[in-house]
Amino acid sequence: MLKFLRLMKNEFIKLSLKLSTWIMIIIVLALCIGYSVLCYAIPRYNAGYYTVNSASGYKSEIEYLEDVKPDDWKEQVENYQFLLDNQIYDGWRYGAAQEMFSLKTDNADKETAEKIGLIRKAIENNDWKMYYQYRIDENKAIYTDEEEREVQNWGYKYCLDNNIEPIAGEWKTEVIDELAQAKISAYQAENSPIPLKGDAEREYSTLKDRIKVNEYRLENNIEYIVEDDGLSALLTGDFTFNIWIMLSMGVQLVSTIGLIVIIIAGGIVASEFSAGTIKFLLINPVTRGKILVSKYAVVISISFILLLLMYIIFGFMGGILSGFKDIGASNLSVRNGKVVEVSGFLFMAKTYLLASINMIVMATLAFTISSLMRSSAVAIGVSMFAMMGGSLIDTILSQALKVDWGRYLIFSNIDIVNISQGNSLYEGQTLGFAIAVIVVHMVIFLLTAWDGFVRREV
Amino acid sequence: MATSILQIENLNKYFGKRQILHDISFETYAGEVFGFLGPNGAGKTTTIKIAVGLLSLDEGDIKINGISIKKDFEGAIAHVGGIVENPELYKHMSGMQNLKQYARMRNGIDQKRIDEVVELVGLKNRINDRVGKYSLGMRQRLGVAQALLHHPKLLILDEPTNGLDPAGIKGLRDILKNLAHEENISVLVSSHLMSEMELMCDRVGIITNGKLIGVKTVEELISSVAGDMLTYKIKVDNSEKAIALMDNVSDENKKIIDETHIEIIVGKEMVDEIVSGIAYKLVTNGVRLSMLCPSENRKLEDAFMEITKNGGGQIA
Repeated sequence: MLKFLRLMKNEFIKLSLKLSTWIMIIIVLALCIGYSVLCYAIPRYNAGYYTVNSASGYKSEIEYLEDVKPDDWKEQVENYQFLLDNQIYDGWRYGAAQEMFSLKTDNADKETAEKIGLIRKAIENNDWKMYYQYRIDENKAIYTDEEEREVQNWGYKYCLDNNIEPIAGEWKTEVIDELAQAKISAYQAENSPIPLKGDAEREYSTLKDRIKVNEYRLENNIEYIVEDDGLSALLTGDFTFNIWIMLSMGVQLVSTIGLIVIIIAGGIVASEFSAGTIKFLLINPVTRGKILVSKYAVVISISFILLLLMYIIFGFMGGILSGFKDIGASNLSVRNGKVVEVSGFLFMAKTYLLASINMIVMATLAFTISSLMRSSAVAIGVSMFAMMGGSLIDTILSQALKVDWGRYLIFSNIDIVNISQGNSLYEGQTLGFAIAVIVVHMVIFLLTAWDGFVRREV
Repeated sequence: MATSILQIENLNKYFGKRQILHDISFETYAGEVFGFLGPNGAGKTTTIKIAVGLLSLDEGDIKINGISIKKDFEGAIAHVGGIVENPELYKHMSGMQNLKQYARMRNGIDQKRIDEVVELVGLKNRINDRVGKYSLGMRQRLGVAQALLHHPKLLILDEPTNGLDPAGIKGLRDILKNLAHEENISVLVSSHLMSEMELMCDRVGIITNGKLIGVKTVEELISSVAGDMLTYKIKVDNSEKAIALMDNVSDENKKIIDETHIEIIVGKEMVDEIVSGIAYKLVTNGVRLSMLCPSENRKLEDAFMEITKNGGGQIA
């Protein structure tokens, strides 16, 4: 064991004395720092909340209506004037006003007039409790089924019971709104005559999980949850910058470490052959198997060291640039019907590890070709192509050529994260299947490397 | 009898269907320099590569210090130091960093031992330079240092004098002789440079076409070929006149090399009589005799050519 560690130390020293190793590492680290600054600097909608309505918008609408005079222009002008006068742009009052307008259009009977009066009063007095109580009373008539009525009333009742004033843009209000919607959707799915199967079933279980998570957030007063949503944040610009969004965006750069690791893996055996140093390496009292395993162990260690370094850089940059906002946040997920709280650092570490699977597999491929062909150029070339072009090959096989055997290829199984979410290009590709395919490939790669290095003549 | 260090027993090796080595068996002993001689392609390097584990062996066995490399590779190789083919070490590292690499792969080598070996091969002043800047001679020395680090009982050097200048060859020869005779190491040296081996080795094994033809001491080898005959070189002012005067040497044993040089072969027991007779005759007949001496540098070369000519000069 001690000797094995000494062998690994040898490999590390050989690599560390090569200038090219350091140049590659410095380029990637500089890239990480530059990328962090870029992610911080890209334009974004702050706080993730905005509304399209504004006073000037209402005014121009009124001008337009008075100018063009469509059929019901007088009524519409009156409505806009109401919104303008009461400064209603969003939130429960906006919804209530819309309801009031819809009631108004008919030639109102007495009952309706009462309702309109009540809503108007609630809006004008900014009395949300009055409006919510009115909604609950209304639902009594609409939903005869008691269970359904409970589901429909949940949002209103929750606010009333806990005395939570609905304010647009406030996280709690948003969570309650989303939860209320989700509960209604879940109820409808449960009572649908169409049986839950395939995508619908998956959607339903996702919905149930979201309900559990959001309930947990309300119970424990958790405003921010850590999620792996960096890519969509990057694309939409809809995010608040903090350490977690930075780490999540950083995952996109894990493949650049892959390049370094593939170059190292492709050269670590082949270079000994091309330089002729293999003879001096092998006439030592160490079996070839130990030498090969020590070299592979070094490749894997370097992968994880660089991954850790990248994680630290993005965490540090994200923390510094956001003033360590939301640093104590956690990720919430549902496991066995229970909400599990995982610290953000742990959750992101898991995300980075999952993202590194591709690089580890491709580095192993490079290592195998390196010890089989004894040519680093071929090893690096093939593996880089496989890493970069893998998803393209996957798409062509599954979408363009529609061949089913494509599912057995490593490329269609490497994206563990997507497969676990059910986003595989092949029907019925499960996580277990993907892991099995990856393991089989790794075993084949390593056995081939072993054969190429241990049993071949030098 | 000295202790046997390397035992090669009935070694057979095939590359595909072609048999490269035929039943090679020999032993080397502690305290001797063993020369492994053969023309290019005879199987020297193959044998050595098998002995150090670079190639597998198909049949037979190799024991180092009594340990079979088949059964306990690490145990057997722990007693071997060697250079196979060229001394190709890590060029991007210094000599010292290279030695530390090899030290880590073997047990019980401290910095003191590394310094000792560096001193021994005479690289003390350049040991911290990058190996990429070394001359071939210096790399060869570093290779030897690397091979000696762990006090091996057997030192195997494949064509160590290749590419070295005469001073380098002499330096290496002195190191190897010293190691064998003073430190009781068994040294195995392969080469196709016969004259070099003659000065360096105690015993020689000759291999040709993958077959070991014989293992003999240098003296045995020379006399086995040349028998009782000695070759003399003579330099005179007129070869024609001089050769006519040598009536005590038969025609097939004397020949004109050029206008001023003659070569003669004489029987060992008659050598004093014949040589002094020739000298007397030449001088008294007015021939200017400027050199009359036994030919040294052809001895082993001839023996070697004699033994290996069975191959017909074709590469096996």
